[in-house]
Amino acid sequence: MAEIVKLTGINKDYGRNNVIVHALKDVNFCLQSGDFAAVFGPSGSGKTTLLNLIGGLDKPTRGVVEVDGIVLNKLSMTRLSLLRRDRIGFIFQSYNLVPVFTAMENAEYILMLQGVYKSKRRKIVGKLLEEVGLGGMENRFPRELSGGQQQRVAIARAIAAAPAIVLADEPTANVDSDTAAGIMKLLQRLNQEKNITFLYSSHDKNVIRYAERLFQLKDGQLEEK
Amino acid sequence: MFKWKRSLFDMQPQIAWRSLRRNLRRTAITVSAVSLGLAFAVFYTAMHAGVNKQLIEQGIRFYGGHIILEHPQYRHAPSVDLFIADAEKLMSKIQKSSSSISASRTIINYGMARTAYASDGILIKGIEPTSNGESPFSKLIVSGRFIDRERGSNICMGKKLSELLRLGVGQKFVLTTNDITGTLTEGLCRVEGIFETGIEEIDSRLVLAPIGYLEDLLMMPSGGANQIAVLLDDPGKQSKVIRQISTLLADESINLYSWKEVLPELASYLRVDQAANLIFQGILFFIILFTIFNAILMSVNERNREFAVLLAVGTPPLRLRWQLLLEAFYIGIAGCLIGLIIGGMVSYIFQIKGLNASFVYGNEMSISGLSVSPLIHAHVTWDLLAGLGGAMLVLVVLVSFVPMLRISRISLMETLR
Repeated sequence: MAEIVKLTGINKDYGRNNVIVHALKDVNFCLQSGDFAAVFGPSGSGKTTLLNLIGGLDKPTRGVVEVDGIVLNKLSMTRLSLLRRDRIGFIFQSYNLVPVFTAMENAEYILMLQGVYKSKRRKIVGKLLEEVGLGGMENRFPRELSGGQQQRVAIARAIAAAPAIVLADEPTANVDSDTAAGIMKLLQRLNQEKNITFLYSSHDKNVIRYAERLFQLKDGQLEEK
Repeated sequence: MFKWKRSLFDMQPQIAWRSLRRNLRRTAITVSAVSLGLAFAVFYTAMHAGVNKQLIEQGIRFYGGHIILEHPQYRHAPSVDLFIADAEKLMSKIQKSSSSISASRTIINYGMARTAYASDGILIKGIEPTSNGESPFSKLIVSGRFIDRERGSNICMGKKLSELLRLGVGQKFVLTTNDITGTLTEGLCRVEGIFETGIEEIDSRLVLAPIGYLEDLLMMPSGGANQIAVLLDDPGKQSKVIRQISTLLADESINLYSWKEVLPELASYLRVDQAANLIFQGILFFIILFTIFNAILMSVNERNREFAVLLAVGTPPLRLRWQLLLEAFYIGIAGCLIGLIIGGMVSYIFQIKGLNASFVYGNEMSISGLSVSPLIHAHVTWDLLAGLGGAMLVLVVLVSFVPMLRISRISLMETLR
């Protein structure tokens, strides 16, 4: 299987008021294509920092980040932006949908950025929304959807462009436990049926139990369980 | 492959439009700021243009025409013997060249008016009373009537001069002057009418006489003149007509002057006034644009998270800037259209009905030595509307550049935390 994510000797330090915080310490990490992996750990353990580094939203203090064979460290803002558009899907804790877009428009946004024709992307996204259980809700705006439904739109947006990996930062933190279970089953199904690589973070034991590979972050150090 | 151009016009115009609709109150306030500011600027400029138009028309009517033709040496040393001998022929040549041009000739000389009670130096103008339409002096007659013939010794004079000479309508005085040979000559004139312009220099010195009378008195060849005044139906075509007449009279030894050269004081006043107007409009536009700048900046700051998410999922910063540019463009278009309609309509009403400014200026208003009616008529033109509307639209779009640049400074890490 191909290596989708490879972190080598990653350190991330934050400096605040002359105090240096070591968020990640000498992290080495590898994800294969089709993995369904979770990073868990208490609040402030560095989960979001790890996902941000993989997603190209942040740069490490030391070490090398590779996604789908591309080294991210020296990429320009524009290159990183294109990499995120084409190879990485994001699912955020608070959904982060564009409020002036309908479910369909939110989900097709990245395809639109890629220059896919409207008719083609509507076909792709219409099918996807059916798959995530939002058939018939294509024209609803985020404010007309529940938290769980909004997160499903976010999932559809993340996978619509068939990225190499989907990064989900606490994807169930803002929904109740039943909805959380529904979302996790959906991610699991998409992983199995479409062979999409997922890496998600959580501190909820009920959520991390879905993962096939489990990583624990503790005091900035990563350990596979 | 990324189809950049198509993509820019794919969803971004919709996002921009819906983003404006999302916060209707803020959008309405911003559009109102643009439209009311522009409406005020249009009204102010139209009223200002109205006053200037009135001034120019008065100046041109009182002192000559849009274009003046003279003997080449006359401007530097005005003397009655420096005349255009075949002025009448030239006038007909000029008038034939365009239907929107009218011309008249004038004989100008200095002299002395004498009665049994007093005498005073005068400026005497021989005019064609019926040429170039109705003379502006005919409307300013306060006693008697305006001269209506090109011959005869009946004249009109300024009110102050008539008071000094103790002359009333129907009474006579002796006019002493020199003819074109330099010989003193005298004539007996009868007062047909007395005018009052409100301009000291005119009311106390000017005598208007039929041109035929002065031709005879001054031994001027028939059809000759010291000045040919050309009036244009469309003053905007002045430069073009000057070129046209210059070509037409290339073989003649005649100098052409625009009204700005003949009335340099008025031209300077208008230039200074125009500069003051531009400064005022600049300040007005600055205030409006500052309001718009704040509104757009606020709208960007409020949507920091939204922009951060869009950047995180792979939206190029240029694309988000494009969205803001479209938002500013929509605001500008809506504000300018409303502003032009309001400003244009109000100005048009005052163009028809006029604004009585006597409550500010009293019943007489004098600018640069010219008396202006306190009933000010606005002068709104398509050029004025297009110029101000276009300038406002461009400036509204330009001020959105600063908030636009902030997008690339959004910290994804901080904002998405």
